[in-house]
Amino acid sequence: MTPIQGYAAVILLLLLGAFVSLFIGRQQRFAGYFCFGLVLVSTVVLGWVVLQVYVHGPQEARESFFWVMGLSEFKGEALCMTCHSSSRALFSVPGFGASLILRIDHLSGFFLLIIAGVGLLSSLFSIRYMEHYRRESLVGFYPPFLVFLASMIAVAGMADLFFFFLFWEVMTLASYALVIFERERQENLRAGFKYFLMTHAATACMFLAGIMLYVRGGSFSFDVLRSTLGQLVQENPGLAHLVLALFFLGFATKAGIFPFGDWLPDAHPAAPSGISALLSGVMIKMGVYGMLRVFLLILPSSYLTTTWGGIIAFFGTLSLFVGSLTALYQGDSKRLLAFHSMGQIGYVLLAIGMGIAFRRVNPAISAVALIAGLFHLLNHAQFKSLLFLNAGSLLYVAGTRNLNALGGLLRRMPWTAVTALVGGLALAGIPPLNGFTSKWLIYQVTILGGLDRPVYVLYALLAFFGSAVTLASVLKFITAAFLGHPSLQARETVDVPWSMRIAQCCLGALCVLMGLFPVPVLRLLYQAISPGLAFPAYEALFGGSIWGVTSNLGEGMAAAWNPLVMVAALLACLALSALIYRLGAAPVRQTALWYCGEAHRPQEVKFSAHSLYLPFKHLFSLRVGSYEQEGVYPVLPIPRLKLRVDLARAFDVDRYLFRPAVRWAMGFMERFSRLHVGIPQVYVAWMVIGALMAILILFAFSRV
Amino acid sequence: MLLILVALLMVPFAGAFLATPTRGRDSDTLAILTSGFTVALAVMAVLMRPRASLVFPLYGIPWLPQGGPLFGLFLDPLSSMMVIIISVIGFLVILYSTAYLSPRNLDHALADGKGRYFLWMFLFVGSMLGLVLSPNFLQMFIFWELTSICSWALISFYGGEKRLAAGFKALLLTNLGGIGFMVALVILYVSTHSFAFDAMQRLEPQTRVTVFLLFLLAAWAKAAQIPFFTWLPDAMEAPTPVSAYLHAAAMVKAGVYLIARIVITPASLPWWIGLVVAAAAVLTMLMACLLFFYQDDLKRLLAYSTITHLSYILLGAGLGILGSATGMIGGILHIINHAFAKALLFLTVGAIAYATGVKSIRELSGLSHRMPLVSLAFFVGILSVTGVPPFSTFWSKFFLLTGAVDVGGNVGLLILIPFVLEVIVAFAWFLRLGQQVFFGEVSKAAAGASDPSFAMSAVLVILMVFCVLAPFIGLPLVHQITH
Repeated sequence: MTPIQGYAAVILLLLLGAFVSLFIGRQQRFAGYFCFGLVLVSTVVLGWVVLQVYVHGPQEARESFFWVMGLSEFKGEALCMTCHSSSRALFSVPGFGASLILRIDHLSGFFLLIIAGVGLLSSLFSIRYMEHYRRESLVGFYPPFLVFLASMIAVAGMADLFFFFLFWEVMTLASYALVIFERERQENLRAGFKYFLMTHAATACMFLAGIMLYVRGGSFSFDVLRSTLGQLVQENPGLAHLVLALFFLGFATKAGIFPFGDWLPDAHPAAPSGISALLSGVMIKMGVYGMLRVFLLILPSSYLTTTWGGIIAFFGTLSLFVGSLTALYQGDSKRLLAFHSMGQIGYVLLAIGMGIAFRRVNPAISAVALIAGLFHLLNHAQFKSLLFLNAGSLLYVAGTRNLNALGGLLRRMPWTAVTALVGGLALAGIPPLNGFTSKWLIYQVTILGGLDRPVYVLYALLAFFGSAVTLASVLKFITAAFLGHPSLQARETVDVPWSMRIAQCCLGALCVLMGLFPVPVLRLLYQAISPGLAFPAYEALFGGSIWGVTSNLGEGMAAAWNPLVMVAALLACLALSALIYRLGAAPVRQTALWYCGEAHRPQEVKFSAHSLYLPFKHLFSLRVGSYEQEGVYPVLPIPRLKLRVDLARAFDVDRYLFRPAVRWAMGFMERFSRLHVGIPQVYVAWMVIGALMAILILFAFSRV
Repeated sequence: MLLILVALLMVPFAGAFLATPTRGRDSDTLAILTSGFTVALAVMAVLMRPRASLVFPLYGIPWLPQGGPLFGLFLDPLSSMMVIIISVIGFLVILYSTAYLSPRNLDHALADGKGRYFLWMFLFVGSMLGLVLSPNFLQMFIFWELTSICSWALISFYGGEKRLAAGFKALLLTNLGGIGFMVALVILYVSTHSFAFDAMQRLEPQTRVTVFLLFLLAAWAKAAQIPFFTWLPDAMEAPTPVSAYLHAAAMVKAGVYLIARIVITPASLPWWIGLVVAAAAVLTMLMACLLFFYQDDLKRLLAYSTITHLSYILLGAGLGILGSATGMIGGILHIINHAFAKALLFLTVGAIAYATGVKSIRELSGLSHRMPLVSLAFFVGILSVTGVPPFSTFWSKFFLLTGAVDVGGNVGLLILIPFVLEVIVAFAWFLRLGQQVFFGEVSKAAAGASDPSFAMSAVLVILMVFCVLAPFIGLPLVHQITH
C-alpha cells in the first residue's frame, strides 16, 4: 500500500465512520470508544504516511492508485474525462481545469501530524466529557466531529485549489455544527452564526482570488497557479496585490487574528471543550497553512513577497498585542484562552511574515523565522489544546466557566492542576518548556532582523510586552481556578475520569519533552520548510549539537540555549534549598486565616479573578470622544436592520402595473359592452353601417 | 428507443386519465406505480441515449410545411437532464403527496379529491416531458401552454376565492409571456418556414434579436423574473407538493429551458443582448433578495428564493452570450442543482405545515426538539440552496462566479459584485432563519409537532442524498452539451 493510498483510506474511513455514527448516537459511551478507535487507527496510518514522506520525499497519487483494491483495470484515467496523459489526477471536473490531485509534501506532513495528534487526544477526552451535556443522543456530535477531522486531513493533502476550497468549506460547515452543539443557549447560536458568516464571506473572497488566477492560467493545480501568479506579478502588479489581499483576508479570518478573527472569542467558548481544543489547536492552524502555501510556495520570490511578508508581520504583531492584552480582562476561562489563541497566532504570523519578507534579503533570518513560526505553531497546538482540555475538566467538575466562581480546586483535581500549570507556563514562554524555545527564536529574528529594518525592533518590544501580559493572565487563570479556598460545591469525585486525565497528561508531557529536547523538532521543521527554497544548512543556522541550540544569525554566535543544562542547574538549586530547609528545621505552625478581627467566610473576602491587575487594566481603557470602554478590543454594536415598508411597496408591481392594467381592460370591455343595448333596430343599423363601410373599402382597394 | 420515448410520454397521460375516478388507497397505488414506471423509462432513455442527440420525426401538418415532419420526439443532453429532473422529482413529490393529502394534515385537511389531484399532476408530468422532448419550437409551445393550464388547476386545487384568484393571476401572467412566444413563432416561421431550433441561425440579425427578445419575454413570464414575478409568491396557495414540483423544480424551469435551448444552439447574438439578459437577471436577484427580509411566511420566502435562483440560471445564459462558456455551464448545471435543493426545502416546509398547521416564521421555534429528521433536511436544504460545499449549488455558483470573472472588464465587475453580495446575504438570511425556526425554545405552535410518516421521511432522505449527488449527474450531461 502506498502512502497516498493510506492517506485516502484514512479520509474515507473517517467519513464512513461519520455515517455509521449517525446511527449509534444513543449508545454514548460506545460511540465515544468507536470514534476514538477510528481516530487511533487514522493517527497510526497518518504517522506512517508522514514518516514515508520525510524519508522518501513528497508522495503523490500515481496511475496505479487503484491497484491494491483489486481493481487493476480501473486505472486513474478511467475516472478522468478530460485529463492529459501526464496528469496524476484521480478525478477531473469535465471542461473545467480542476482535478483531484493528492500530494503530501513535507509541509503537509507536518500539519497532518498536528491534526492527527490533537484529534486523537481530543476524541479521547470527549469520550467521558460529553456526559457533561446530559443528552439523550450524541448524534449531533460524533458525525460532525469525524467529518471535521476528515476534511482537515483532506485540506492538508490537496494540491488543487478548487478541491482545497471544497474541503475547506466542508471543514467550516462541520465545525459550525460542532460550535452550535449546545443549541439551547442563544449565545451559542449567535456565536455559531457569526463564525459561519464571517468565514464563509472570507472564503468567498478567496474563491474570487482563485478564480481570477484560474481565468488567466486555465487550471487550479498549485503548479500551474505558481506560474500564473508569477506572470501576473510581472504583467499586472495591482491585480496581483488584489489577489494576494483576498487570499490574505480569507486565511487571516480562519486563523482568527485581529481584526478578522472577531468570531474567535465567541465561538471557542461555545463549543464543547474537546472541540474548542481542536478549533484552537488545529483549525486556526489551517489558516496559517493556507498562508504558507500561497505566500511562500505559490508566490514566486519578488518584491511582492517582501511587501506581503511585512503586512503579515504587521497584522501578527497587532494581533499579539490586542489578543494578549484583552485576555487579561476576561472572566470566562475559555474566553480568556480564546483571546490567547488570537495572540499566539499573532506571534506565529509575525515570525512567518518575517520569514516571507526576508527571503530575498537574508535567507538565514528567513529560515530561522519560518522555523520559529512553525515551532510556535506546534507548541501552541499542544499547550492551547491542553489548556482548553483543562478548562473543560473544570467545567466538568465545577459546572461553570466563570473564573470568579471557581477556586481551591487544587486538592480535588491535582492532575488537572499540574497539567494546567505546565500548559500555562508553556503559553507564557517560561523555560525550559516548549513555548520558551519558539518565543526565544522569534525574539532573535525580530531583533536581528531589526538591524536591517528597524520596525521589527518595535515588533520585538511589543512581543516582549505581550509575553509579560500573557504570563500575568496565565497566573490569573491558575490562581482563580486552583488556588485559594474551595468556593464551589464540586462533585464528590476527586478528579476527572482517567481518559480525560490521560489526554491532558499526554499533552503536558509533550510540552515538557519538546522543551527539554528541542533539537529533533527543529530538524523536523527544517525539513518541513526547506525543500525547494535555497536556505542555509541546518548546522549553519542552529549549530550541530543535539542537546541545545546555538544561533548564528549575526556575525558569529548570536545566542545559545541548552535546556538540559538549565534544568540541571535548576535541580541543583532546588536540591540546595531543600537541604538548607531541612538543616534549618524551622517549626511550622498551621493556623486559621486572619481577617483583621472580623468574622468572615472565606468566600466573602476571596480575592477574585476580576480584582487582579486592576490599575493596569484601568490604564488600558479606550476613550474616544464620548465612547468609553475597558481594554483595547473594540466592541462595536451590531447594526440592527430596520427596513422601511415603502421600499417593499416600490417593488409591488401588482399595485401600479398589473392591477391598473386589469382595471383599465375591464373598464374598456364594459364600455364596449354597452353597445349591446338589446334593441334589434340598433343592431340592424350597425349591420347596415358596417356593410356600407365594407363596400367603400373594397371599392377603394379595387381602384388601387 | 423510440418505443421507450413514446411510452415515456404516454404513461403519465394514461396515468392521469386512469387516476381520475379513483379515490383513497387506489389513487395512491396507481400514482406511485405510474410515476415509478415513468422514472424507470426516463432512466433507461437517458442511459441508452448515444452521445449525439436523437431525433424521431413523426408526422407533420399538410398546411404548415416545414421541409420535414413537424412533430416528433427528441432527446439530447439538455433534454436528458430535464427528463431526469422531471421524472425523479415527480416520483418523489407524488410519493410525498400520497401521505401529505390526508385528513390528518393540520395545514389543510383533505378527505377526498386525490383523483382530481393526480389527474392534474400527471397531466403536468406528461406535458412537461412533452415540452423537453420536443424537436422544435411549435411542439414546445403546445406543451408550454398545457403546463400553464395544469399549473392553474393545481394552484387553485383546494378551492376558495383567494386561491382561485391566485391561480388565475398565474395563468394570466404566464399567458402574457405565451403571447410573446406565439408572436416569435409566427415571425420565425414567416421568415424561415421552419420551427426548428437552429432556424434562428437563418434569420437576419435584426429579426433574430427581435425573436430572441420575444422568447425572452416568454421566459421571463414563466420563470417569474422582473416584471412578471408577482404570480409566484401568490402561487404558494397551492398544496406544498405542488409548490415543490411546479414552482420550484419543473414548471418555472420551462422558461429557462427555452433560453438554454436557444443559447446552446450557436445562433450568434450581439453582445448587448447578453448584457440585457444579465442585467435583468442581476436586477431580479437584488430585488428578490431585498424582499426576503419582509417575509413572514416560509413558503413565500422560498418563492422569492426560487426567483433568485432562476435569475442565476438566466445570468448564466447571459454570461454565455457575453462570451463565457463556463458561465453558461454554470447556469445550465444550476437547473438540476437547484431543482433538488429547492424541492427538498419545500417538502420540508410541507412537513412542518403538516405537523403544526403553521407556516409563519414568527410563530415557530425550537422545532428540532420535536422533528429531528425534518431539521436535518431543512439544514441540508439551506446549505444546498446557498451554495455550501459539498452540496449541489456550490458547483454551479462557482462556475457562475468563474464566468463573471471570465467576462471581465466593467461588465464582469458590475455582475460580480451584486452576485457575491446576494450569495452572502441569502446565506446569512437562511442560516438565521434556520436557527430561529429550529433551535432555541419550543414555541407553542411547535409543541405538538413530530417527524412525518415513512413516505414523507423517505422522500426527504432521498432528496438529501440527491442534494449531494446532483452535480455528479449534471456535470457529464452539461459537458456533453458544450462539446
